[in-house]
Amino acid sequence: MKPDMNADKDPVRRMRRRGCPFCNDAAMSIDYKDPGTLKYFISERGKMVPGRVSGACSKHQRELTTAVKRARIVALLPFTTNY
Amino acid sequence: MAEAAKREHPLREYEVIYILRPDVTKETAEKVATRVSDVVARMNGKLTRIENWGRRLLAYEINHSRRGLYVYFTYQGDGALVAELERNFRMLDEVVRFQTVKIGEEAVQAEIDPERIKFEAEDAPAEIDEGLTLEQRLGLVASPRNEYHVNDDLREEEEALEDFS
Repeated sequence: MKPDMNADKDPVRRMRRRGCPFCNDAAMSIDYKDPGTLKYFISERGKMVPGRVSGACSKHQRELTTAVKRARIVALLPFTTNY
Repeated sequence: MAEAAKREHPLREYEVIYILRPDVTKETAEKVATRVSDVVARMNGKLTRIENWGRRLLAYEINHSRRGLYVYFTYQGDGALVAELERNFRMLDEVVRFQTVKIGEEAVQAEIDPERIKFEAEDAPAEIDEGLTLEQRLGLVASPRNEYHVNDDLREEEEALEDFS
C-alpha cells in the first residue's frame, strides 16, 4: 500500500453553504436602482461575483445579473474601476 | 389575429431614468421635464410618478463629468410612446444618459396623486465640485471621498474557495 502523501496536510476545508440571501429574506429585493444592495454582489473591480460565491440561487443570480447590467448603464455601478 | 393584437397597442408600465448634465440650470431641467410630460400626453400615455434624485456622483465619467442630475419617472403607454420618448431624449443635448425599463405587462388603473407627477427642479448647481451632497453627508450614498470597497465576507469566502479547489 502506498503511503498517504497527504497525511501531514490539513484536512480539506469544506465550505458551509448558506442559502440564497434573496430566498431566505423576503425583505431583500433585487432592484437595479439600489446600488447599495447590488454592491455586495460585485467584486472590488466591479465584476459580478459568481453564484457559487455569492450564494444566490440560479434564479436570483440571473436577476442579479440583469440588475447589475442595468445599474451600470445609468452609472449607478461601475463597469470597471480600471481608470 | 396577430395583426389585430399589434394594432391594439396594449398599455404597459415603464420606468425611465435619465441623467442630465450637472451644470444644467433649474429652467433647463424643468424644460426637459415639461417636454417629457408633453410627449407622454400627446401619445395618450399617462405619467404616474416623477422623482428628482438630484445631483449624484456617477460610477464613471460621462462626457468628462463625474456627476449628473438624475430624474426618475414612471408612465403607462404603448411601444410607440417609448420610441418617441427615446427619440426626444436623443435630441436633447442636456440628456447624457437614459434608460427605459418595462415594469409591468399591463397598466393598472390607479389613483394618481398629482403631487407625485410634479417635477421639482432644485436650485444651486453651484456646489458641483465643492463637495458632498446632502445624501452623501448623511451617509445614504457612497461618498466620493471614501474608497469603494466590497464586502469582506465575500473575499474570505473566495479565498476559502481557492484553498478548497
